[in-house]
Amino acid sequence: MDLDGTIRELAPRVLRYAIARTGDASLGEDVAQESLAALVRHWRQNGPPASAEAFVFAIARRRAVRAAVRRRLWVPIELIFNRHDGAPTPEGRAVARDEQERVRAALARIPRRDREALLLLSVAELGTAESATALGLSVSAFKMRVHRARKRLAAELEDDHDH
Amino acid sequence: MTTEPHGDLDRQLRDAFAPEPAAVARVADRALEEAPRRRASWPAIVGIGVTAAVALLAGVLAIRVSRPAGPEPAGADSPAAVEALDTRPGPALSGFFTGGALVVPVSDTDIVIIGAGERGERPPDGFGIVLVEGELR
Repeated sequence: MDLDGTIRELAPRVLRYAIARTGDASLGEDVAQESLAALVRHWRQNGPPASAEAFVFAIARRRAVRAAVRRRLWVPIELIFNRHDGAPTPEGRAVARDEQERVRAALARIPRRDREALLLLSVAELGTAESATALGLSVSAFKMRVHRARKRLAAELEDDHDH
Repeated sequence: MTTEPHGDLDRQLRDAFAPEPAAVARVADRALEEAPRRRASWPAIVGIGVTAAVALLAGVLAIRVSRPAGPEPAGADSPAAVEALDTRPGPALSGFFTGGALVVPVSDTDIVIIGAGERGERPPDGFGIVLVEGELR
């Protein structure tokens, strides 16, 4: 796949991950754009990396962590993941739907490490091996973490539904 | 991953953070069009400098090689184009080319050399020694 095709294939996944990771559409857009631009620069200077998606998500993860840390200095995590203030945008209206709101809130309640594993694997649709590498885990350890994360998220969703 | 039995949960997660299509297009376009090339500037400058230096050296070399070693000979068609020198003691003779023939005027007649021997159809240009052997007509 050429550079243009690769960027367009990765863009929705990186953006979705960055929005989920930072809890903010605008911040997520910045993180996604910077990560993709880094891939463009690398591609034009040195050719395509061995794995474009691993390259992009490694950068996106670092930048999202930094952005999230900066945001946490101002807003508690619970508010970040439920933040819908300001003028309603089409994006805001979409994510404000009840079901999505519920999932976001449940995700925010599970442990950070479990949440990160699900964001990479399920939201960013990164492969198991790439996700494990990004988190510095073996594939088997990553699979165990994902299994645990899914159980916890499902339990949170069920509890929320019962209430 | 996204396959069953977790497919529904994964889909719920993706839907919860689904970006606006316009935002996706904007991110991709900006990444492709506006990717800053901070580290590309130095190699580019060095590349331009090396190219300029090579071009300058090549130009100087070409000028030196193409410059003649001695004075510029007269035009090939002019009478002074060729001097036929007699190797024997005596005055030098001058000749000229005309119609592919070397003509050397002597006191009563001309020496005409037609054709160019081993050097093809073109008679030799410039200065040198012409050895003539044969009958004078």
